[in-house]
Amino acid sequence: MTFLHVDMLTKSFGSTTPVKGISFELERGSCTALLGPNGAGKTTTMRMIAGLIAPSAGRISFQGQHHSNGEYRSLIGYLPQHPAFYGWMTGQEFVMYAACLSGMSRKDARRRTTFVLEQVGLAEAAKRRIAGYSGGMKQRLGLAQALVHRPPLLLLDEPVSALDPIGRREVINLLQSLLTETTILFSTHVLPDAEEVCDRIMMMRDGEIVENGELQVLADKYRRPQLIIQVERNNAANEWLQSLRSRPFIQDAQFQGSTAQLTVNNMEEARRIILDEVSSRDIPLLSFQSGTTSLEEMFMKVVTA
Amino acid sequence: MRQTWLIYRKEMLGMTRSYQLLWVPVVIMLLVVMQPITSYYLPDILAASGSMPEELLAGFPIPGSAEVMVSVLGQYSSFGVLIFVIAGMQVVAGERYGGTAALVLVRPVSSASFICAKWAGQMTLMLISFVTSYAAAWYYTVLLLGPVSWREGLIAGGLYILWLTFAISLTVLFSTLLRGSVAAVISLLLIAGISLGHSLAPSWFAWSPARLLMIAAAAIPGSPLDSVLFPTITTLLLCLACLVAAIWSLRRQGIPDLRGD
Repeated sequence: MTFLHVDMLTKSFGSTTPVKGISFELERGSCTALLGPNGAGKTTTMRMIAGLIAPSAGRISFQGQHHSNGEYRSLIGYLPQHPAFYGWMTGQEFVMYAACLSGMSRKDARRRTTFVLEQVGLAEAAKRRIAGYSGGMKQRLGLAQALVHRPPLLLLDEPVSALDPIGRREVINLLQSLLTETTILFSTHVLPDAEEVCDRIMMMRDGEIVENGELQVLADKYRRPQLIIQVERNNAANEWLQSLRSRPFIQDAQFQGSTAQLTVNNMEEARRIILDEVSSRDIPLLSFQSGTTSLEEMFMKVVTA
Repeated sequence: MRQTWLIYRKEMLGMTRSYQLLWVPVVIMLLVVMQPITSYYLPDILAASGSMPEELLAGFPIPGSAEVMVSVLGQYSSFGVLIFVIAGMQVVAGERYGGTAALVLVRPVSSASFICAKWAGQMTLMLISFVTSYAAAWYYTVLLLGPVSWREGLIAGGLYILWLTFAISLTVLFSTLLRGSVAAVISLLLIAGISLGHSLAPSWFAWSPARLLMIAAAAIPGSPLDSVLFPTITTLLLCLACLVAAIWSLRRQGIPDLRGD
């Protein structure tokens, strides 16, 4: 069942058009990652869906209801990329304020506030002024205020970029636990995170959606067999490594120092020939690894195409 | 309605925690209370400075209570307005450009609730400051210089509250449209323009809120009241127009991103 429907959404500021007529749908309970390089129009798209800026053209509808009537606001939990708070409030007061503004009763709001602050790991800092919070704590508080009213749609703009690895892990786990009840759209450029939580990905480039689909389908489409070869640093070995570039079974080659990253057509042939040469020419091999291209390489391919 | 009350309570809490609710009334009280006190003690101060001839000091006039009350009112229309406008210039702009508006306005909060709560917060600050400082100035005037007529004093105070309400509504409007400091400058220029216009060409500006100031100043000495009705109605309408314009434009201009777009 379609929860959010976006049709030919466009935004222009003067002569620039950061979002150029994009259309997509989100299913209820799905989790979609919005990927793209900086300036691709991810944040602008999010802000239009959140109702913070008006689209120049196109329409957004929630559960078949048109966006403009304002009732959708209670359905959304929004975390901006750089959430800002009143420094003189305590974390608990702010989440409480947010919950009450979303129409929760005081009793309900208080219970949920305690719960979400616990959930994002701010229970101990709840009674301290926000002015004394660290960047990561503010990000967690932003997540808490987005979750507190149990919104059916969560819009998260770079929810994990400002966090350390531990915090990132916690937030990812938290998002995974929400998946059954909530539709999530989050933008990120941390690809492993997208891979871990989301079942769909949408890639934007220059204000257009260039890929949109199930993660597995896209991964199969772009996945290529790959070899990573590292040799010791000496001239003969390096020369040999560079010479691999022109072999017929190599599709694409990238070199970083004495490491080569080779995308190949025929894994069996490539492996046999290369390992033969390594032993016959006495190449000082450090590592030899065969696998498939990562999501990151697919991302690079799609957004730079 | 509940949203308006919640935002209003948050405004008041913010003003308390930033001590605005303390310093604004204190500064204004000091400003206006100085009027009766300096008027009364001026001859003594001059004598103590020692450079004034005896004869001049003996004949130095101490102004009457009505005159001092008029100069007290003058403080509100100059420094008072300045302080209220500066205290209120960030009221909406601060949230818009500080990024907190995004978290509030993404929720089911109507623009009207938001603006009205902000306006009510500023009005509360103004009323507290005005009532306490006017009462204190009145008290010292009566103590040092003689009685002030209740009826005229209260009418003049009421008219000034109306004028300050206009200044605050204007500040709320420009704070919604522009960045904080620009909002303050434009509001002050407009207010000064109206006052100046009224003093240069009173007949052209007879409709304007600035007329209230003149009526109030004339009322204190007990001269017959001009028609208050007309400027009062236009002032109230202007305040309403400012608020409606602020409500109308709040969401229409979009909520800027923290990075500023």
